[in-house]
Amino acid sequence: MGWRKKILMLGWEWPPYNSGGLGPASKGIAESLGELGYEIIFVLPRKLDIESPEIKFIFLEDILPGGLVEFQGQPSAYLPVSSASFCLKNKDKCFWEFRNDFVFKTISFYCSAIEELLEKIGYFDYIYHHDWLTFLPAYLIKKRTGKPLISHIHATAYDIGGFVFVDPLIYKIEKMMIANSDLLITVSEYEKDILKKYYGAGDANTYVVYNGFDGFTKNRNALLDIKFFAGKRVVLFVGRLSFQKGAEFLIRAAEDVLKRVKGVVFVIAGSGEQEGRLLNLVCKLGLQRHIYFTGFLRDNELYSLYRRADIFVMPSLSEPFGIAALEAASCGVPIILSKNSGVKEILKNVFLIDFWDTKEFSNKVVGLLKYKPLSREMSMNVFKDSLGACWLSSARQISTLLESNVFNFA
Amino acid sequence: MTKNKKVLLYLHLHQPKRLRRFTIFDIGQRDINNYFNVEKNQSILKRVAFESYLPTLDIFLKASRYFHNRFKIALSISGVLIEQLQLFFPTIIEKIKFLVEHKNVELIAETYFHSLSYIFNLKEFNCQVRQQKNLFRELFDFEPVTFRNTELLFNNDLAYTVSRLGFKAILVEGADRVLNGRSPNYLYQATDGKTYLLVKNYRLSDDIAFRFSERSWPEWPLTVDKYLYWLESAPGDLICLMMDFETFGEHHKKETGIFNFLECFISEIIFRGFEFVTPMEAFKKLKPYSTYNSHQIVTWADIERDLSAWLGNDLQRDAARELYSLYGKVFKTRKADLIHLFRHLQTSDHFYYMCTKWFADGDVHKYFNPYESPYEAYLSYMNVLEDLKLKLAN
Repeated sequence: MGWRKKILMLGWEWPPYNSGGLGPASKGIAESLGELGYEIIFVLPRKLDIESPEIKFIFLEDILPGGLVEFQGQPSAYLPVSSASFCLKNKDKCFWEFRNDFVFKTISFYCSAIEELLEKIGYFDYIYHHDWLTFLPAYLIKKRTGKPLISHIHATAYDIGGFVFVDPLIYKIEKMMIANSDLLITVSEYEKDILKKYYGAGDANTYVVYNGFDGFTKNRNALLDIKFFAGKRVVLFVGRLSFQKGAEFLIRAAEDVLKRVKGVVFVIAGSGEQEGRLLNLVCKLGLQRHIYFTGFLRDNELYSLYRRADIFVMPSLSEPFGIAALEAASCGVPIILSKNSGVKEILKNVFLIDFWDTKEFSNKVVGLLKYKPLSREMSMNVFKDSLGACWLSSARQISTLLESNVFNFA
Repeated sequence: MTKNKKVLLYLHLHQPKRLRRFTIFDIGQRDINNYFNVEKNQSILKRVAFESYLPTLDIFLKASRYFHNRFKIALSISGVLIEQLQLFFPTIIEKIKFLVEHKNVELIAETYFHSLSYIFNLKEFNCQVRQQKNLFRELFDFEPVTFRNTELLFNNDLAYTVSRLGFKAILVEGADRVLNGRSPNYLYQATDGKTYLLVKNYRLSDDIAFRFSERSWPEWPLTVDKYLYWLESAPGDLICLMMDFETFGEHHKKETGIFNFLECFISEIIFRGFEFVTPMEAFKKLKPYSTYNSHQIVTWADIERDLSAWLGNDLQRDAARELYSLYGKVFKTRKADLIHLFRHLQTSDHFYYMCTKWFADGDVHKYFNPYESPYEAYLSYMNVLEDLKLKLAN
């Protein structure tokens, strides 16, 4: 290709400095688009120690030093949703009380730096941003340059708040995003329905591109042998410990399961604002010896857990996609998924549950533990389901959308 | 050529008693009648009765009035369905009784519970066939001489087993791998040298059963003219068309014109010099053409025409093994209701719902399927077996 199209991609986080699925997803998309021949300029607010062969990084801290000195570390991509009772009592206040200032400071920092940013990168063809976090700077750039704006939506306020606690400010920004983007790309039909239902997104410029998964950065020889689990069956949960992910329902179901099956451990991998609350719940139910919290895990540790797990569960209140399920499927773990998830459109050979139906949840966990042929068959078939999903094929679909004339660039 | 070409139309009626969603919490909690999803079974039966059974039988009754003995078909009704019809739609039984009395219908025997017992337990198989024969005798005053195994399951041994039960003929699938280039349109004989085999012409049967309302099919729309032309130009002297009764009105809805097709088909067959035959007449009037030799099991399902739709994966094999392993214990109890229940669990549909072969695409296997996925089907079924085991232990 003599002339490479240039994409200005506004990102928020990048693994290993990620707080959730947004980082790996942006990375997968950016790198694969790079492989397809696009020139990618990936903008991040913080200076991070990362590199990638296909991508040119720009750190806003470099071009506008001193913008974020008052804060430490990486801003989370997810604002915490506080505990249910508190929110219900203080309907309007709670979001403001618990609001993470860091996130909004970073956004305004992002916006203030666009002049210098545009100067630095010169010509480009598309503005591509991920989620509401980087919409405002992207929109300002669109206003300035008139370039087509592409929004990739990985999650909305409705998903994060489990349809219950919808942050009004984020909703406002998202609504604006839906109305002003030239092309909306979202991660599943499930999420597209939410965009249509709650944000009034149109069919004409909303497209579904499934996430991918390219395997773990792993070392087979270094597979951790977790002595602790010797002789036990492992039920695994991987995800942020927040209201959205529904870890609480797993704990409630665990109570029923443990009454019926011996030698089971529940492993909850992840961290988040509900950690204390969940720990309290576990202690209250007296299940400390059966439920383990591992904290946030990566790569080899996580891979070892997946390989060891007998069941993977994802009882999310709303899961736009759910890459973790894809990771589990690629390790051949039988999966129990919430019906409110996007990944079920790819993974057909799974159990689906309503997240609130803990009876049914434990029924399925017990069934899988009890009947060996069931987990064998599901494991085999779900692994086959997972084979089709990779980032390169997602990027190919995005590239087709960019090249086609289906959406009207003003 | 047209003259004397015989047409055998065979229709199969069956609806299982589907199980309710049975969780681990239900194990040991429920009494014996609670295994079945009563509402679901009733609503499906109602739908099928009104959309298919009743209107189709009315067409047959009409044909019986017009053509008397020149209109003949073969029917089989599983005992499981008769049980349900007696409760909710006795009129359907009455209509069939009328047709049997007027020699328009030859009833074909099978296993009462539409089971795969032939594979797992011959003693049980014999029992269920006898039970079905008794039912026909009581209800229709009819002594069946033709047999069809569940899903047209056949291998050479079946002929020996069944002839000992007093049957003279068996319906079989015209699987290409058995016919080996021979046409299915003849009367065949089993390897035992005395049992007659009526071989299904699956191309012509499936033209009606599966492709009739398929708009992407090049031959759509299928007219009686065209179809009879195919029958005429086919080689051989006996064409066996075998399909589900639900083909008329359920698989193909009324709006597709299937009923008009059926009416017209019946009258044109008679007017154009074909001859309707029942299996009984077919083997009396015709000489066997060749031997149908299959050591392996043949069925009428899917492209594979084997057992893979019922026993193709680990789930199905495990569930079936588990079920039949209870045989001895169940009979030791000598409790009639428990034995009856155990037999209901043998109905092949329960295993069919666990099929993962086509699950991802979703297709024919979805007909009347109460479960969201094959795994749900297996889980419910195994939980029921656990419960049954508990009952046996007490």
